[in-house]
Amino acid sequence: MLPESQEERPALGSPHAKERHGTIAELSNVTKSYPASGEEVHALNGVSLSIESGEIVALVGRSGSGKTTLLNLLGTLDRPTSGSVRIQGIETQDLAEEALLTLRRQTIGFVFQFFHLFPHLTALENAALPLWLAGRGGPDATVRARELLAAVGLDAKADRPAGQLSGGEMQRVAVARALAMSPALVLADEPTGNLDQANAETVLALLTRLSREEGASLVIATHSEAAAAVADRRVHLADGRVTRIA
Amino acid sequence: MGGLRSLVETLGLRPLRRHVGRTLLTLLGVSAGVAVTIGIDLAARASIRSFSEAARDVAGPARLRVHHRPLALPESLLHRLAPFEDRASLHPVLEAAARADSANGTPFTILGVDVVGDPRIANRATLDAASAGGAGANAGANLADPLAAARRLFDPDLLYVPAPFAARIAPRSDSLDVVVGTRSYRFRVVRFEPSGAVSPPSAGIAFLDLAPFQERFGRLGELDWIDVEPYPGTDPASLRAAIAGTLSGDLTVEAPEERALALERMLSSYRRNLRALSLVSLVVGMLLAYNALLASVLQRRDEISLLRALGASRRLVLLLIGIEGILVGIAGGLLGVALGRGLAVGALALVSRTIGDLYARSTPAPIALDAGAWAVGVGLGVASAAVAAFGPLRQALRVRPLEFARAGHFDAPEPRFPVRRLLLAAAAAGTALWLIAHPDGFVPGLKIWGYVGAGAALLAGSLVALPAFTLLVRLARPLLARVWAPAGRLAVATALASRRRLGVSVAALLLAYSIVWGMASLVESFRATVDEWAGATLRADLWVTPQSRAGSPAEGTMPAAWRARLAALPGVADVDAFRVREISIGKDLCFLGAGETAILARNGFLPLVGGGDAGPILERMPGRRTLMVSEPLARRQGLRTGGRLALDTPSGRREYEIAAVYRDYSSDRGYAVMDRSVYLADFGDSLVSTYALYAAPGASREQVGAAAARALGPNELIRVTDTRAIREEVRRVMRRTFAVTDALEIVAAIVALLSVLGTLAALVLERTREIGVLRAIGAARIQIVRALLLEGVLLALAGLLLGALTGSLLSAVLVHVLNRESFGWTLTLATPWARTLLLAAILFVAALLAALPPARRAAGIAPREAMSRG
Repeated sequence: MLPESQEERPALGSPHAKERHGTIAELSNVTKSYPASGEEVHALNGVSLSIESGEIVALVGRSGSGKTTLLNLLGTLDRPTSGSVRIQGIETQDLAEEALLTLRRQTIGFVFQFFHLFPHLTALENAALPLWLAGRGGPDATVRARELLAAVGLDAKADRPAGQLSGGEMQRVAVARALAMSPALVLADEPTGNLDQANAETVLALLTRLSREEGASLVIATHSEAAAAVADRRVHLADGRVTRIA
Repeated sequence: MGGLRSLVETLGLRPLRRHVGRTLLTLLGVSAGVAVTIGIDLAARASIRSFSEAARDVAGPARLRVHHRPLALPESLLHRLAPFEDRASLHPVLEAAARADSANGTPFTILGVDVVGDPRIANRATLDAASAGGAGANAGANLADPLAAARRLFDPDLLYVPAPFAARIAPRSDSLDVVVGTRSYRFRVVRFEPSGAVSPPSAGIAFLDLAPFQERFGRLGELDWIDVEPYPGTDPASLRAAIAGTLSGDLTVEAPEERALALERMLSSYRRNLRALSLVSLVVGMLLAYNALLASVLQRRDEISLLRALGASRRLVLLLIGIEGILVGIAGGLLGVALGRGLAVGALALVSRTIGDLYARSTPAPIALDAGAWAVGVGLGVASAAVAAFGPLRQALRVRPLEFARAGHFDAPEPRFPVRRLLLAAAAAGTALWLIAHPDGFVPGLKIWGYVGAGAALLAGSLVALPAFTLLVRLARPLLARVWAPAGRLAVATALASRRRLGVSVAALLLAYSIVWGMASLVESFRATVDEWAGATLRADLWVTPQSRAGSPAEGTMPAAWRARLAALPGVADVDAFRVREISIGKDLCFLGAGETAILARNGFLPLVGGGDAGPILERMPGRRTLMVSEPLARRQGLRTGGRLALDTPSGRREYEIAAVYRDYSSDRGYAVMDRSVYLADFGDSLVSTYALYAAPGASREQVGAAAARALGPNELIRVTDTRAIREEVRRVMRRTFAVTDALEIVAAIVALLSVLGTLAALVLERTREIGVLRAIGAARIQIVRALLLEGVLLALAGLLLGALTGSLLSAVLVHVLNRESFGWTLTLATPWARTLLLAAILFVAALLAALPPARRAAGIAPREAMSRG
């Protein structure tokens, strides 16, 4: 059961919230092409965009407009064909794989449409996973993961395998996981796309509130008007180009 | 129908091409099992066929045979049978074991027959060739002088050899030295084309005219048997009854195939054991196929779910998924037979050698791949694929419509404590333990309990594989989390999630290792027991045997007069003249032995079944109609100390009291041994098969051996063997005997390792997105590799630990139940620790190596896989 209102949930402690200023991510004239059936397909074409600290940005557009490709580039999951992607001032194009991994681990959190939890791990373990991967396996990690689960209202289900949770609960665990390392940037790909309206609202509210409390910038790729409505800015994409920023 | 066809083409067949690696792995699993089963069977069949074909070739086309085995028939019997010559033709035969060229040459059989009338040899071309000048002459040469031609025909130096066999033993020369007994004889070879009666080119038979045979080989006035070939229109059954009515009670008239059948019966245990062992490869291969098919179902779960949502019936799902199993079964069966043929060529030499060592001379026939073998191969392929597909298909049928919305790769939840599975495992282990304690089984006399026990032991292990693996992973969790976190935590979590899949690989590894353990223990038990037995019983220092002997201890004889010459040699303390003859007891072919039991009692040690030395019993045997019977014969015939056994002797059937049952590992055919004095009195045969020489204290074996060879003269082709060499030969025979089982163990182990590789590779494929997520949220490649390798470690550890436990149970079954049932020997269970631990280490490393390619593939998964939808 979800708590009655968002206010009842504990706020995250200030020690994890980081003071951040300026531009967190910056894309300059980025193109991304893929070979498909012998032809080059331009998924992104000359996109320039900057994400400021603490800002919530919605990427909107039809399927195939380039939202996910843009998220991949922001998340350093992929490299641009040309142009520049800078995360916290660091040019990612020139970074070696291991450096990119460290940057991603320390700076970026992800929320996926299909949750992508590890169903056999408990909710707590899922939330602690990024900490483990960063070499923080001790009690601190457990405390932090438990704190995040409490923040998303799942402290009572912390020890339950993720596979046994409902869709909304799974996505709340995913939010907790995304914030575990106190990232500067949270990237959410259709975070409510697989949820009913009530759960979608809850998850969206949690995502925005906790991102703000953590001082993280949030980029949401979405079709949903409701999701786009929570953003400070909306970036409209069509055919791999930014058509409008509102 | 068109829609169904499109569905089958797109959803049934296309995945086979799309996932070519998985398809190949399933194919490999099925075909490996079929190949081993068919290969070993083909090799065994070829070896045994040569054996029984030789018996049938010796028999020729005759429908009946009159014999007095093991005794010779008097030639005068031909006159007594003369009244039957208007209803049948009679063909007297003598038989001798020979070697071509030298003492180590090709062994073969010489039959003494009437070269003009015997159907095995007589045909126009042969006779023309011989009468026209014998060797090298052209068939149909000018016969100007009939008398000279007849003289040449009966020339005592002519040996008639079927051309295919002559090409082997005398490829270039027309002259051939032949060793029979202890003498060498020179013959001129007459090649002839076999015409039906002597059919296979492998048949190692040559023919000599009856009279020169009797003269040269000291068989004047004797025949070994008379073949009776009824004329057309004569009823063989009534003729058999009529002949039997005129024979004295101890002569036998029977169909010649009965000897071939007896030979085949003698080999049946060996063949059955080989077949059982090869079936294990089939099971391990099935596990590999099971894993690959399960991977297929799990990968296609979304697709199945969607199909169900779109209205596909369960039957259609069954067809679309099952078609993979059917096609792979057929293709695996065909491929398996083709591979099996290649395997059979390799195994043939091993199997033939073993049969030659343990049973009788065997020249392997060529591997024959007939339609039956293809049918059996395809049948086995389809059957094993069907069994392997059963679980995955059940899984597929459980997929509910629209389940894909929440799909994950993870296994269905298992009960925390699988009571039914564990109860079944306990029952199987209990059955195996009960049989170890009661080797005669639930119904004594049925020769199945060894297999039941072995199957129960393996079943128990397989059933425990999954819960034990789960337990091991849970137990290892704190350690792994502490030492190798986060890879350790990940490995534990993913291993638990995929425990059912991994459990199958654990079972495959467990089966392979337990078989290796069980077989190695059986071999070690044989080695240790036989070593101890040979050390205790083979007390003579030197053994004198005819050089012509190639397999059976009954082959080749030496005169009794040599005993005095050997006993008189300086340095010789005692000589035991031992005679061995092949006899039939009931339908069993076994050996009758006659030795100087007092000498054996004085010098040797013969362990009794149940403990103790047979010495005091042996001392009492001279002059008394008593027998000692070896353990295998006693078990097969149900003979006990104090019981009686009737044997045919030239003076009629005699009864002998069984004085004791002794332990003997020299032949699973078994021995009945009497004192030489009794044998001489009852059988009137003074020939000797082996002289055992006991050296005087301080005498040099080498000098005594050289003196023995000198004393018997250069013309006597004898072999003087040191006991140490005999013991070494016993060990060599044992190594050769088990070489084929070594090969089968290796195949089982390779298939099991492929199963490990296949499982981990399939899991990596299924976890692509999951690994992508891990990479996206910060997992380094090395962490992914480490986690997967740790899963491999957990899998290998569980498989090997359980394999050792199951192997211990299996080895006890093999030693105490199966061996006793098949061969009749009592063995002391021994475990070759060094070998089994070394094999465990090799399998462990191999399992980790098998985990490496999937781990490397996992490390290569791009983080953007996390963003793939659905």
